[in-house]
Amino acid sequence: MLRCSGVTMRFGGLVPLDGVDLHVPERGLFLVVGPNGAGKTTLLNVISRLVTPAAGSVRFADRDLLALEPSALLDAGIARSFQKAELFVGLSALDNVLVGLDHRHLPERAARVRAIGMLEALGLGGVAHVAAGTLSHGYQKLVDLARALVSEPKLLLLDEPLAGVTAAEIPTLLAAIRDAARERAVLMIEHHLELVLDLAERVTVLDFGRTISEGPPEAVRRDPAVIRSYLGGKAVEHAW
Amino acid sequence: MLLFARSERAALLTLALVVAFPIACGFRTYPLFIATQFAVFAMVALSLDVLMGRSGQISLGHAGFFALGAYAAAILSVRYDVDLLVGVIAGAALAALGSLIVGLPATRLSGHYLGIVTLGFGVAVAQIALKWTALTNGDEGVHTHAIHLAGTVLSSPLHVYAVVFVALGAVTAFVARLPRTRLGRAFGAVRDSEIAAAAMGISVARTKVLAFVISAAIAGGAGALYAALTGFVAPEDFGIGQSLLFFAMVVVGGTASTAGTLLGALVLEGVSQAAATVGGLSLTLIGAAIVGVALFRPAGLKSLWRGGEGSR
Repeated sequence: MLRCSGVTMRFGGLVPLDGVDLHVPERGLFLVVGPNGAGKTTLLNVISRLVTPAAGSVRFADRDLLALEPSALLDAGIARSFQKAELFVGLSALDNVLVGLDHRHLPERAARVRAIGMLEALGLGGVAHVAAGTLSHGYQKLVDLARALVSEPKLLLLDEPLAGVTAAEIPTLLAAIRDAARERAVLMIEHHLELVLDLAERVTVLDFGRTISEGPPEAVRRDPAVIRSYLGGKAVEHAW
Repeated sequence: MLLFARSERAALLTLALVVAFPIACGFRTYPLFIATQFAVFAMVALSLDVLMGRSGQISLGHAGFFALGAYAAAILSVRYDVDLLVGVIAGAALAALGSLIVGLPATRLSGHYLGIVTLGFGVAVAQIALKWTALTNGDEGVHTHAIHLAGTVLSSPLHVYAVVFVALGAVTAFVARLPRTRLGRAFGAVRDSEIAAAAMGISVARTKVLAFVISAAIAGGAGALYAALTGFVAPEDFGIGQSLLFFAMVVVGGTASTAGTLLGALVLEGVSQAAATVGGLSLTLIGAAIVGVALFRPAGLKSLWRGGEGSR
């Protein structure tokens, strides 16, 4: 459904993405991993149109994504979360989720019912009316996820949804992500491989802007190129 | 849910105080004038909060939009003897049009740079009013005709007072309701995170311009009412000092708070009036009020009651 071909990105002398191919079918969890600076977030930013690649194509459901404005993506069925949550800190948690639904032009009452349902499903019912900026980091990540999920996108992009989340909040988040991936494609960047690797259908490993491995988790786990480049010798057993 | 949030009760209380003031003074002309002028300025302050508090932009030249509305209404009154409602609509429309001059570059500017652009706009409008004598009569100003609304001549200050307070009520209701609408949420989204706003399908540039247009239209409509109140408009009413007074009302009251902005307008208008007889004193006191708030209540007077609206 999503198909990136030869995506190349240049910032001055840096080449954060160098001919990356990626295919994401209609359902399931797809993981993009790699060391810091591998180009993971840049790839997500290309798909969500925050940056325009120097070369390559990005197609989604037979549409050329690169021809769309960033603000047209949600209508096209693509929603995303952010590494640093990027919540609307002055708005309540409920209003944040409502913003994620506003492009649908539902009647206000119907939108509220649905947004509150979304918050409750993620255990956020109690903080619906709290200003998002005052919530704990973990709650902010959950609100960010709720905001992206509430419009029921066909493709959900998640940028490190578990980063900085406390152990107590992780099961809720993981369950929500797994549920989401049952009905749609979820493309996720995540460093907590021990938690997410086995949930993934397929894994793409990036390093220095290139795909160094691609396949089901068990294959990628044993790929010597991955072990050499990403995990560096002895750390392997521990990290995986 | 309560009928009114705490912040809304504070807004209503502020309005009630000001409505009661001329009544307590036995409807004498001067207190009526002061209360009506407060209501006009409060509308401009509320319009400025739409821009600053709600959409996260800045204007240091809001007296420019206010002036466009005032001149449009005054000139239409003198030349064509139009109804006040027509004057208000024309004033709002002209100010909205003027806001595009500032609002379109605003999509690429923010913070200090936007402050400078709007400051320049305010100064330019006042200078044009001064120099374009064929239209504005220069520093002699424009005297309006007798003001009439829907066929009734507003012959006493009490009439104007009633009309202006109805208008302030309408503006207050609009601004207070804004955060609970799609548009208000889009303003907040653009204010707090432009990239997330875009990812949620919001056109950031269009939303920013729209905030300018709405804010300017309200300020322009208030300008038209100001012309009706004073019966006379001249460039000196619309200088930098006036822009800074509007700015101070929002900052002292607390941004993104309807009640805070109303209270800020009340405090600063009260200070200016109380100190009006001594030259330079009111500006000094306004400056002191801003410094005092910045030091001791950085969130503004709204922090006195908090809650209700999303605090920020």
